[in-house]
Amino acid sequence: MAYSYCHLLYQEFTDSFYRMKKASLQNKITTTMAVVILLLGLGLTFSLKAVLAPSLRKELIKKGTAITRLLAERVAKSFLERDGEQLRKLLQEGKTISSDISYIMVTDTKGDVSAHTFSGMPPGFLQNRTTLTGVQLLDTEKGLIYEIAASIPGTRGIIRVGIGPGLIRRRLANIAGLIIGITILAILLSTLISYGLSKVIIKPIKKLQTGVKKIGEGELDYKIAIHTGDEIEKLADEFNRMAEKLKDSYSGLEEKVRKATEGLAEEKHRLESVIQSMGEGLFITDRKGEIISWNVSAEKITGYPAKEVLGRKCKEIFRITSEDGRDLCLSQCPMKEAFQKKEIVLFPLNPTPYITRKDGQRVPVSVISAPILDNKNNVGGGVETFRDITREKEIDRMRSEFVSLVSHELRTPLTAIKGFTDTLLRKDIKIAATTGQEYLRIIQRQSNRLTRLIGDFLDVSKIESGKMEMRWEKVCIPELITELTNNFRTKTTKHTFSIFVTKDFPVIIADRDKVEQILVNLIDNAIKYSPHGGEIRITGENGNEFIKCSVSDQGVGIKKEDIDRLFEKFQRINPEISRQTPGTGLGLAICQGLVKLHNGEIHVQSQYGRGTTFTFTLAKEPGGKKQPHG
Amino acid sequence: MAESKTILIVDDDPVLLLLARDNLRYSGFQVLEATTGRQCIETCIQKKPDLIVLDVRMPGMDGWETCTQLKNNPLTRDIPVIFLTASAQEQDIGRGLKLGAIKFITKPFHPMDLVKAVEEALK
Repeated sequence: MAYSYCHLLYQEFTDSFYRMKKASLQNKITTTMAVVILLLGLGLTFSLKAVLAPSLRKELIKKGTAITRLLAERVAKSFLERDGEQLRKLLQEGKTISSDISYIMVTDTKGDVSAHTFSGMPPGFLQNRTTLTGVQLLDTEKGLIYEIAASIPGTRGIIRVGIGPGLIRRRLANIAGLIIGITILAILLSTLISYGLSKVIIKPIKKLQTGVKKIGEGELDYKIAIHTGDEIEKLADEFNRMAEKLKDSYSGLEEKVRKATEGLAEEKHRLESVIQSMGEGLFITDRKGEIISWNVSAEKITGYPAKEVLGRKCKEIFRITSEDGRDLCLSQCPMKEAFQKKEIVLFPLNPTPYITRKDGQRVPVSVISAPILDNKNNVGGGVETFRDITREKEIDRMRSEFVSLVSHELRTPLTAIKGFTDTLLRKDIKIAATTGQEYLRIIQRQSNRLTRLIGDFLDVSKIESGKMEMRWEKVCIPELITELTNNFRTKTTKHTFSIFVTKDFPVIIADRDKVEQILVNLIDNAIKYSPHGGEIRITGENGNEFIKCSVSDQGVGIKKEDIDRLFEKFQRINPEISRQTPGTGLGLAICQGLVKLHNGEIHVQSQYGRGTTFTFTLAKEPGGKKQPHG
Repeated sequence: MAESKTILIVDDDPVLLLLARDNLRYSGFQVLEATTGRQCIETCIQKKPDLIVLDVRMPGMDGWETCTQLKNNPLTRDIPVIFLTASAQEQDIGRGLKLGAIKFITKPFHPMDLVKAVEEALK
């Protein structure tokens, strides 16, 4: 029980101590001072007993002894004369010397009381005392009494003076009371003073506190105004300086952040522009395959506007199928593969992948998928780009068609050459000389044809690949026309040639051989396609940056629907005629190419059954401007 | 040979027609000519040749078409067909054989190859 009580007290003490730790500064100071003073007071009080008591006692005894000796001398005569009344009187007088004297007694050596100051009989314990001299401590009901005995000089009597009772205790109590009183006063005073003092200290600290709080909340312009001239003012100054520095570095930071954000926004803009201006469709998905970005080209190629697509799954919109309709997304989803391998994946082009547009049309595409990886190399999403390869497939098809066409065209004369050669070499038959000659002539013609064919193919190839070499020189076209026409006149009797060239026809810079090739081709065609003869007219006109020439015939003409195909390769429009004469079907295609190399254009006008006119322009100088469409 | 067989040659190229005709004649065959698929079918129905040498590439009705029609027609179904072609792609050969042709000859060819093929087919 006592233990638990002690425990409680201890708990209380530590609690209040802890509370005090958290109390305000003011309270702390005040309390501490009070406690200190209290402890001081208590300490003083308790040390009284140890320090003061003995000296007090000594004093008392000294005084007592002096009084006793004095009284002993005074009463000596009376004692000797056995004057009881005088004795009593003297004793009573003596008692008044000091208020501390409790009683005075005179006894003889046997202990019989001769006189005393008691009102009645002296108390029992004081009688029959035989001590002669000295100090005796008597413990009475009233308290401690110091009895000092001295012998009356010249007699055998003893005078006893009792001092007390509880004198020392009383004295001590007085002093203690004084001390406590002073202590309490001091405490009050100190409380007041400490309150006042702490206010002086606390006020600026509170100011500091408010200021720092404000600064902490972001008011970096707040200046703590403390002018106490002490360390607190210094502290306040440091805080102000710190706030200043913070402000600077913040605004520096803000500037940096602003710039960086601007830079980022610019980057983002740039990237956005790049993505939107790409010719290829591009879309971005998140990790689950939902579309989060869809560029303009993607809209164009697929026919799906972005707003219809965002948030939907990639495989809903962008389903890849083969030409015959098999779903390729399931087995080879490029996005999935890119995610797994964490690298760029090209969707295999065999079989050609197709996607279905919104309107149902199918488009062949080439698709590339790439994963978007974060710093830790985790997949955060994907990017897929695709290109409409319809044109490429078309070109591919045309190319392989061209190749098969060419091989066919070449094999035809070759078949004849080989065939007739082998026939002539047959051992099992005899061939007539005339027949043999005919065969040889066929071989000769076909060889020539083959040669021309190969030459034409090479021309076409060079023109198309841009590797045709041009020899630029001054060319006088009227001269060229005249020369060629003279040659042709010898080759045909059915036709007449007329030349109309304007007087101001200039000398131009051109590739002479090629211009000759163009003219020869056109005139050849004119002759070929007017088998019944007629006039072949060649004209030449001057222009600003171009000269214009034309070749017209009065032949079979060209049907309207065939005009578009005219300049294509291997187009034999009129098989009956083209069959009879050796031609490659590339003539006009080559003409067009050569004219283009001179920055010019070639056009045809024709009336079926009446005749045809081919017109072409050539730049006067190479590198001249292209002729505007007209 | 007791009776000479008649071969119908179909090709739009007159030079090749001459080549084939002369060589087959030298080897004792009678030769008919046609330059289009249409002509071919007509001649077949009318003259009933013993074998047809058919060029694959022709304007208008090409060799494949012509052959299909010949085989669909009970009158012409049984006449053996030899294809002439400039390209010998596997799928073409397969296609031709499926249509019922018995041989493919690729150009350029040795005329005796043609003759031999014809003789073989008519055994």
